[in-house]
Amino acid sequence: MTNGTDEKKTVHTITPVVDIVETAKSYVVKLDIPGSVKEKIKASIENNTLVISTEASDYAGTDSAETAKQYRREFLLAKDIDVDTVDAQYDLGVLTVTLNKKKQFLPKQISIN
Amino acid sequence: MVVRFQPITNIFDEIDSIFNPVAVPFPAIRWTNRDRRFADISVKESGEQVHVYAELPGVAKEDVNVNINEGTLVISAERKQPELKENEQWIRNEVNYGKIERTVQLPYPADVEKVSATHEQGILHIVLPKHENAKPKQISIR
Repeated sequence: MTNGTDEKKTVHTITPVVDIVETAKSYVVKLDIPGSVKEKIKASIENNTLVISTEASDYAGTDSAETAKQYRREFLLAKDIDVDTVDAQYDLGVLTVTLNKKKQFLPKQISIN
Repeated sequence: MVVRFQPITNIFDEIDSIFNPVAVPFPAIRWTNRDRRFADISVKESGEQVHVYAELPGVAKEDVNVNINEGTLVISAERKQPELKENEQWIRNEVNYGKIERTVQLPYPADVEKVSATHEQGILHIVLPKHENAKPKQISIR
């Protein structure tokens, strides 16, 4: 429906608000995407960029044949993120993406002999 | 560290550089960072019911309150701020935490006894059947 092949359809892109918390081992990214289902949310990493996108759910039936909404936001990732261990969960209308830091960037305790 | 951006309208296709602020010379610009204390709502009339939808992402069901008297619906909720543990820090905070309230003037008086509500994936959906007095009445002509 909103894949751009239908030229008549205007797609409004909403930038979801984001909270990011850095922990010792990871970055936890939370985006507000109310009313969706996890099957519709797409998350990918390409060229060191995390892309989150989804069709906005038309829960109130306000979309017309001409317009649709989607959520989309991109994040450029720093070098310390391990792109192979990314985890994502969707709950209460909030998408939580956990980006783990690469082992070599974790704080290390050095024992003194 | 909490970073807040000023709301500016309509910028598209920008890339956030939160993890690597040095890479981009200017800060990302957001229009979504409205200082919100209201939930976005949609109100729909459908047959003999009025549907009210409120966007309350990140709000637990037990933190939502719906109050109604005949013509007015009051939605109040609280989005609790996550408590950071030791060695955790904010990189970015655009979400507004705290109390949210929204009053909706209903297009018709509702039958208070029959109101129902669900809260799923951040959407509060309230169904308000119209009060008998608000339904169209057929008058038979003798």
